[in-house]
Amino acid sequence: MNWDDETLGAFLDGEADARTMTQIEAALLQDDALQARIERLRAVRRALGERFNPVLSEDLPEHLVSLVRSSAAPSRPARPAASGGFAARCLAWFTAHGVPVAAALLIGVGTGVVMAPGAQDSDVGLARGEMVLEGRLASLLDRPGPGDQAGAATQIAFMHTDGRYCRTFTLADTAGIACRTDAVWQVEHTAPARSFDDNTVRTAASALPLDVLDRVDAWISGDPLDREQETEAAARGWQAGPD
Amino acid sequence: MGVRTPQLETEIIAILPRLRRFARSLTRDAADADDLVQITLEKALNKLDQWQTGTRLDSWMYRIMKNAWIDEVRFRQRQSERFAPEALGEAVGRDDPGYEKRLRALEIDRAMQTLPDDQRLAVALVLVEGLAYKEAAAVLDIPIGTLTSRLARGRTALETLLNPQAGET
Repeated sequence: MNWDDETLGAFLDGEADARTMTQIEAALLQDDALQARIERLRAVRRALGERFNPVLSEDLPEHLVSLVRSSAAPSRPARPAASGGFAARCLAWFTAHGVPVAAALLIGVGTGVVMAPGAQDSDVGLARGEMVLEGRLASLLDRPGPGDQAGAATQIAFMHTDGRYCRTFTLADTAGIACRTDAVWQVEHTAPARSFDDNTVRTAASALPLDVLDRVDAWISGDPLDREQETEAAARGWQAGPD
Repeated sequence: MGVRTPQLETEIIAILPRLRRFARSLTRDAADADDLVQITLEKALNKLDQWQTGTRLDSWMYRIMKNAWIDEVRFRQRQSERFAPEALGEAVGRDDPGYEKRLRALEIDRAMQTLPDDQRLAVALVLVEGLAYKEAAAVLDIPIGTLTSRLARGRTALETLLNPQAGET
């Protein structure tokens, strides 16, 4: 059987229908001329790949990158060396994210009970027998950096020792930890959010109850992610990268 | 609707290498290619609100680049002939270890330049960028049958140009 170049090309590109694919594969076993023809066409893609694929590993021109990055937030200050306990590392995290202490305080209050307007039905769902975050809270967790939207908030992102990315969250009067499991934020731990019934100064992280902070300390691998690491992780859909 | 956020900017930068490759396969040289990439980025960033969240960002930007190339860049490409192997030979010398490779690259560039625009676009999207027929047809706003026809003609022409010694079968 004779096939035209359009059909042979579709065969090479994996776009021919199943019947044609089978027929050509069978014919290739006994048709030398067809083999030669296929090989000549295949060589075209190979030549183009050898010519243009090296572009992928070239350094990106700075002017193109800065064109895209022109609206980016002010450059992140150098990240302080994390030391001491978790509270100190939380403060380091907020500093690394350029969150002023005053704003951090607002986040802390906002994510606590004081402003909690109540969770919405669309914030939590079930998947494969597990509780998962949905809706606005899932959207907040998808984005890098701290987020705060009408009583739903996320604070810290970290790498779990099991290799998953996890983030702390508060939702109305509940705080917890959700870890990226496939394409969803699976809730791994919950506890009552801290209620503020005094006038003591508190940091943003203090919106999270000690129970949650202790759990983070037990699960965390290394330090909380800085903004750059969060942006990279978010760009990968919070799937663990090659490194 | 797309909103410019640091995350979206990161996604665009992640696509940049492929945009540069696509541009390189359309244009005459690296300088024209990066000019085209810059124009594409400016247009895309100016109308991010037209990108539908949840659709493929890379396909949307390929389409912008295709239109930019057709509308603007092609008409102001430099007119000087830059593909003479003799000129390369004078510049680097035939004993240069990269000579054969660079000569082959110039042959491929010149072969691509000989293709009609519609065939070059089909070849670039499918054979260089690796898009499925359906995706490439969507970027070009043409039926799949038209795409496969242009692709086949382009591929056959390149095959003849790049393998002249093999002759016709």
